Amino acid sequence: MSAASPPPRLAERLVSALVGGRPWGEALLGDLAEEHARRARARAGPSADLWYLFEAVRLSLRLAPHAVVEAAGAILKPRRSRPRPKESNMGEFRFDLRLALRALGKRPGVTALLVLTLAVGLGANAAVFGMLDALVLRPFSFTDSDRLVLIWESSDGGSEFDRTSLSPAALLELRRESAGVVDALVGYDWWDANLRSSEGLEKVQGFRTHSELFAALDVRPALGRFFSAAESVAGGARVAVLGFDLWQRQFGGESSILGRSLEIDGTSFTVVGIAPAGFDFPTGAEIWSPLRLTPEQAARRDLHYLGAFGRLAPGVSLATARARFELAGRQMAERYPETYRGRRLETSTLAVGLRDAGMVPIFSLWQAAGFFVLAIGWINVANMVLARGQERQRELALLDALGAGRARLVRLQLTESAVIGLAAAAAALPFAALGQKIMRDTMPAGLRKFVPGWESLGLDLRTIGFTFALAVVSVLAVAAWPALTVSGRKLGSMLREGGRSGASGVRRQRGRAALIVIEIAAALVLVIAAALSVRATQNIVDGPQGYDPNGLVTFKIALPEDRLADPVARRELVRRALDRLGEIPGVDSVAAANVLPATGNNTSRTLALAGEPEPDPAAAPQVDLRTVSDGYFDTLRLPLLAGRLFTAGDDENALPVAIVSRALAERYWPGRDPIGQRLRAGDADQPWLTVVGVAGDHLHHWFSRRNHPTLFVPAAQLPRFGYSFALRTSQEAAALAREVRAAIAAVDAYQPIYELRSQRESIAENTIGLRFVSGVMAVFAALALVLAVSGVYGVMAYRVGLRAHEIGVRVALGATAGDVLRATVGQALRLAGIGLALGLVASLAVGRLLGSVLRGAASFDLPLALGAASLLAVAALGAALVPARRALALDPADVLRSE
Amino acid sequence: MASSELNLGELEQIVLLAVLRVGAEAYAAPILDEIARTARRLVARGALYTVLDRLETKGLVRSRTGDPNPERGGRPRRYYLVSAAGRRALAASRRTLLELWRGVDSLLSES
Repeated sequence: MSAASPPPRLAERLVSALVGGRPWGEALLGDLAEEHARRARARAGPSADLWYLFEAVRLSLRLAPHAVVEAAGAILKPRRSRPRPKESNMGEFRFDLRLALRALGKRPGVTALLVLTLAVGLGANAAVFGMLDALVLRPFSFTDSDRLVLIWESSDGGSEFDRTSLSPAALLELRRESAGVVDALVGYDWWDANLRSSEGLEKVQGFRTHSELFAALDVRPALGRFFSAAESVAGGARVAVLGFDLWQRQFGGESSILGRSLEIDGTSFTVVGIAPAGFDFPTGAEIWSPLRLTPEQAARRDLHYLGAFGRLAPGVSLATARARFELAGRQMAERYPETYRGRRLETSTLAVGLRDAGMVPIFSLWQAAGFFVLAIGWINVANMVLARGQERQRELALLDALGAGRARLVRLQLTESAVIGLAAAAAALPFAALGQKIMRDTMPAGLRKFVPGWESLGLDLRTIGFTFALAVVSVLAVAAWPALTVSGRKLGSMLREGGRSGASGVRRQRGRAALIVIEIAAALVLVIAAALSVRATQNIVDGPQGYDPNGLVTFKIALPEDRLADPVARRELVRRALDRLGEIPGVDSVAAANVLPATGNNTSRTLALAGEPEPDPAAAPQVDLRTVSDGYFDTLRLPLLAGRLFTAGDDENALPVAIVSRALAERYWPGRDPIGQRLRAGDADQPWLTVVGVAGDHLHHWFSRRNHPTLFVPAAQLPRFGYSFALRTSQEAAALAREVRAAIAAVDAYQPIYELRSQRESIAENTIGLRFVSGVMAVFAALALVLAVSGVYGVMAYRVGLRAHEIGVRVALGATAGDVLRATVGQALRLAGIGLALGLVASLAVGRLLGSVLRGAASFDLPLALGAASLLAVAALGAALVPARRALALDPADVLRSE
Repeated sequence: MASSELNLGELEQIVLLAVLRVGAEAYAAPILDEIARTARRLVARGALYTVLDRLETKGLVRSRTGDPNPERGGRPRRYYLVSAAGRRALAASRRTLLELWRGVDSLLSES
């Protein structure tokens, strides 16, 4: 029904740029499009796109270097006009190419080094860009995903982390009012579905959504159908759509699944369809069912739990939609001030809206680090090219005297540079792919599905295009401009003087010295940044957590809202579960909480203090809320600093009590006794709590909840739907699995457990972002170090080679080894010293940037920085010593004789 | 006698002959296929178009545009046809080659 899939846009644009000007350009583009359509019809999958890409690359190999060379040649005026050769343009370019390849082939070592140096920098940048593209810029592979928008609420003066979902009433109103702006506003609600399959009970990530979800994302079912509007009405039969992986995993991928009844949350659902492979929107979804709101639920404005997104209607821009929703938000605030005062509706594209706000600074850091590596590589290449340039002066002068002309010489050198650049880009791609593969595999599977776009991480057209573009820039910046500075007069004098010295020699030396200084400074900055990140990570992962995380086994349960709506039933269930778990041999103590430390989620509430005026909902302070069983503090070994712990007496009939964290006590009652103070968590209909104890601070999220004020409430007084259990035991999680499952099953046969693991594993998973950052920084720093040191070595070796004659003379005149070493190495150390000093200063600024990216986890540390500087100094010294000593080993008589 | 303009290079001859062999509706794709199949040469698309362009400048082929096609992104095909001058040039080069080949067969017969 739709037209054949179009060719890849970027590749087509490349081809168009290459041939568009020619008379047959359009015909060629059409041919490629036609062939692409034919291949796409013959075989599904990326083979048609790959073929197109291949053709585009072939064309560019034929045409692009010639185009660049033509342009460069056109800039310079030819020395004298010559009749145009009879050969075609292609033939002349082929000749240049052959010459270039031969020249490069004559010195394979240098050529390989040039290519490798560039490839390292290009590969690093390509890997980072690939991640940036997959995770941040275009994480979704839906049709026209730029037209998908996310709507959420934020409060005036809130940070970008304070995003809230919509309330049902608001969502339904917006659904009606947004017709014409979005095709259909889709609401979705998180659903922890307990699914019974042949293997037992499994908790599956599900979502209750409006039926237009699938149409908005332009997906078709792999099997069956999606739900209809009729099934979305409360009271009708319950239907579900299963995810592709789930269908394969638990139901053998058999088509008999359609129409079958499944038991989910103890209720019967009919499977009406299977989602296409790879589709798991919203994050990690494996099962979908219609969002049904009873009239009471639909009227609520105070509970915000629905996500909302939609596809922009044709012709409507993001700006228009944003304005309309903002207006709608203001109207709602006017009509319902108690619930909407100070809040407004925000709209953004889906990619921007769902992206983790912390990712952008992290990627900026990585891309900057990658660029540093590339810049150091550029410096090395520049040095090598300059060195080679001096050697080639005679060769070029000869060619010029034979009538090649300056333009032709420039073209020759540009062709050589182009070949090096292309080879470097091609060599960089496997490195980048490898780097991305490592990053993909390091990410725990459980987290991967929650970061959209992670699955699509890999080399794609945009990354490849980026790499080649960067290679072109590199070539122009570094390898090409020396070629352009060859001047006619110098060539003549080169031939006459034998090409050993020149007025430009001194200036060149100084230029190269400056490059070495910059190189060392850049390497030092990266090494320090990496060391700071690694240290910060270690502090958080291995440092004190505020409780004892060793010897804790944890798991979660998700109580279904329909079956266990009654808080009494839930309280009982948890009580009996705790009893049963405590009976397991090897378990010393057990506790339950809504959220355990260092897990991915959090619950927070606004805080109101007794005796203070009601806080403005827009600016109210937030505290983390934890509902915990009596044994929580003992089991976790979270210290009690004052007052008392919860007891069995703090039940639903007793006075509502709370324990506050030290940070909370100090922030709101500084210098006073917090025991006996009263506070309230949440809206005005919540009870006032009396503080009975103060507990120590603990580490939850490394990046935003460091010593965040925390409020603990007895589980009996505030029953929840999701619980995490912690068992203090010396046994491993796997060893306890069977007994834990049996214990819970004995309490409730329909209740599966999930995420059974040790607390240490939770911390590891929680800090994966931090570990990624420091891992990448460490790799980049190592690359930078190697490149910088090899750069120093290269320049020193070259210098020593140049001055071999002078050294010979000096030694013959009685200079000692020490004198010679001091003279040669001394200069290198002087340069390195300047570079290190510059680097230290620059790293102060980097330390601050790092601090903001890692949100306070890292800060500049002088001893560490000095240590890094010494490391680099030693490495540079070693690199300078080697060629110097080799020079000393030469027999001065030989050196003198050879001139 | 033919002017020097009509001396055909090797690729030019191959392309002209392929266009003739394809006959009607000769555009880039079937021309390339014909060359690949019969002459067993893989000619790059860009090279083919360059040669056709040059031949057209010399007046040895003519081209016409076809209808726009949505599959080609709206771009029409370009159909090529060997002109009378093209046929004459082909005939002339054939004559030349046959003359030069005469008597040479035996020299090559060791292969």
